[in-house]
Amino acid sequence: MKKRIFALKNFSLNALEAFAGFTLRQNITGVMKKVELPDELFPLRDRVECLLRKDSFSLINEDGKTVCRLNLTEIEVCSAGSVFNFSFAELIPLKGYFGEFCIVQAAVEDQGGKETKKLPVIYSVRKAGFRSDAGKGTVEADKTPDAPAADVIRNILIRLINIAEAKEHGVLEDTDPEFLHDFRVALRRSRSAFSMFKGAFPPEEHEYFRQKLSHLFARTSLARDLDVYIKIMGQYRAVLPDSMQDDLEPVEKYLTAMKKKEHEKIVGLINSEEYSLFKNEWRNFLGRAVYGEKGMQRVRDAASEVIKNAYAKIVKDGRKLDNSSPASDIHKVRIGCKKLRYALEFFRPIFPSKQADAVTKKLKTLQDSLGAHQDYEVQREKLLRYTEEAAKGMKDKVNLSLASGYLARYLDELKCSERERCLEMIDSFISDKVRAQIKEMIK
Amino acid sequence: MKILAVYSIKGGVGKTAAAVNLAYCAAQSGMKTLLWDFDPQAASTFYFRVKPKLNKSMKKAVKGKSDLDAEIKATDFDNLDILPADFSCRNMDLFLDSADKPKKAVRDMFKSISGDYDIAIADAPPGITLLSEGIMSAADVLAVPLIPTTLSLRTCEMLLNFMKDNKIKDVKTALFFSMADRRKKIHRDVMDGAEFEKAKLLENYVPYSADVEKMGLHREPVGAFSPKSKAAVSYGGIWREIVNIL
Ligand SMILES: Nc1ncnc2c1ncn2[C@@H]1O[C@H](COP(=O)(O)OP(=O)(O)OP(=O)(O)O)[C@@H](O)[C@H]1O
Ligand SMILES: [Mg+2]
Repeated sequence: MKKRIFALKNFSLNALEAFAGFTLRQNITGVMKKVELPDELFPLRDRVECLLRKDSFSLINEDGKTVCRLNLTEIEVCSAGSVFNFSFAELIPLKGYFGEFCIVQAAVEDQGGKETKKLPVIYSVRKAGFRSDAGKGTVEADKTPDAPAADVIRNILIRLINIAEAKEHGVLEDTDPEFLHDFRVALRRSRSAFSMFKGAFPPEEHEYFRQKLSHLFARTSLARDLDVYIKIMGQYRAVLPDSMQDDLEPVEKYLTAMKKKEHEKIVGLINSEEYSLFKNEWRNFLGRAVYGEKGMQRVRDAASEVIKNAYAKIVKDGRKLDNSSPASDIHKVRIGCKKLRYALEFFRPIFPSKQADAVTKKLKTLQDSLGAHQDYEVQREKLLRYTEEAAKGMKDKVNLSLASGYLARYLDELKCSERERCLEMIDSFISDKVRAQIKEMIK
Repeated sequence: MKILAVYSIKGGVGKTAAAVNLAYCAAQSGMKTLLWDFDPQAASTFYFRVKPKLNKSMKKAVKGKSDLDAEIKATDFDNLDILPADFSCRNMDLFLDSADKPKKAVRDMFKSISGDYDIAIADAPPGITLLSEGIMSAADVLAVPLIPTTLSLRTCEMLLNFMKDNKIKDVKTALFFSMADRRKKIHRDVMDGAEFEKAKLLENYVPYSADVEKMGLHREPVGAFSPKSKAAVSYGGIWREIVNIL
């Protein structure tokens, strides 16, 4: 049994006692104290301050026995002179008193308490309306449709490099593959935003930084692939017949060893002078108000153009597809979708949200299917390659190749069935309906 | 999980007081502790303000068919849970008698408690019974309170002989004086002259103390309401000696 946290409004301890039929005893009286924002809110630290106070209570039955513990947390979120107040009840069950816990929970809910899985500080900061880019990993333009495109893109890019930077320590420690993933996503978004608005910046500098970003991104790709593949190996085990369960172990070992090496390379990269130099250059560049030929264009117009073109490209690539198209053609559509998706995300506040959200939703399901299709294709190919690598120098390779052959067939089947779904969804995405929605959105 | 049984043949010698306070010491020291009340009078259970359990589960428990984990209650103190007694405990010997191997049945009951606890402390009822025999054979340490009188010493010898005769030897026996009043000559004489061959006599003892009597009013271990009292300090000393031989 775990503790539960409830967000409260107009909460009364007396009403709680009366409803639950237990007596409250206060054990600890807290004081308002400033708290550090948790990591995921870290980027807000200059704008937002959080104060917290915690009081602890016991709920006591007729024998004087504690049957449940209750912490009341008061939080003040302060920013630029405004203060937002929140309160929470944390219920901590005691072994053997589950019934009593349920009664207390019912009493809290009776007063409008809403359970939340978030930490109270995070909940409060969010409810107060503050978002941190790093937590979501995405960045949105401010709601300024008339601002010069170059300025808006610069602002997005600065925030993205901050996100990437915030993930560095996690990438170095490598406790969770998500850090590297987030780091890469921030880079990919940067590259994408930057490339989309080619005309907004002076051509030479644009070319220079575009290459740098691509290069940086590429140097972390193998590590990410390995992360993904190591995770997938676990799923493969489940697919293999019992008798083959352990036959892929050489591949697993090979992957883990490779990953170690790649991780060391990435540590070297992040600690390198080259990388910190790049960040400096990049920030310097983003801090300068330079404009390419289209840099002064209104961002709304520039974004509309980007979205229109991205969609047109999807339509063009999509129309060419039929049942016999190679996987690489489907992959082209996928790349186009990614671009469109980023553009929609970056500029969401600039466009009417109804159409933008409808298109994004459709796009998202299409991307999921495209992703799955591509994954099966890539997985199959990589499985065979990694198996070959791992088999080098092994004496008895029979079991290993049997197991990998078995899986390759399995992945092939998955790919084929995903392919049909993919083609259908692409068809529906390049339909008149979606085209009309996009037109309406950017008109 | 280590097992400490607090037991004596004689009744009213301070077993329950010791079990409750030693359990409190164990929990305070950071060990995850389970106090198991085997006495149908449920005195330990009472001291922690817990209600005796409703389901009369001992008959099933002896057969290994009862989920004892589900009967466990958290006390108001960190790391300290209790398995309350119920009235069916009074028939333990009947249940055990119909089991194939009574001692093993008791051992298995302890084993069926899931591995979370570092130590289980058993508050056993007095008398030589199948239950007490089972608890003795399951325990790692048997703590025996002794009132410092000649008669007590004789009963204690009886217990040690009984254990020898019944080949209960995988348990370390720790004797300690209880309700000791050094103003009384007889207590002084017995305490200063006592020697045991087959068992260890602890150096710390529980003095006769009004604080221990007040446990019934406070319904808490002495350490919780009077942590600096002589009694609380002496239970602490006894606990440290026991940890050393666990
Ligand atoms: N050190 C002490 N000083 C004073 N009174 C004590 C002390 N220890 C126990 N008592 C009191 O003596 C009585 C019997 O104590 P306790 O219940 O601990 O003994 P017991 O051996 O568990 O008894 P039973 O055999 O009935 O289970 C209780 O009223 C208790 O308050
Ligand atoms: Mg007793």
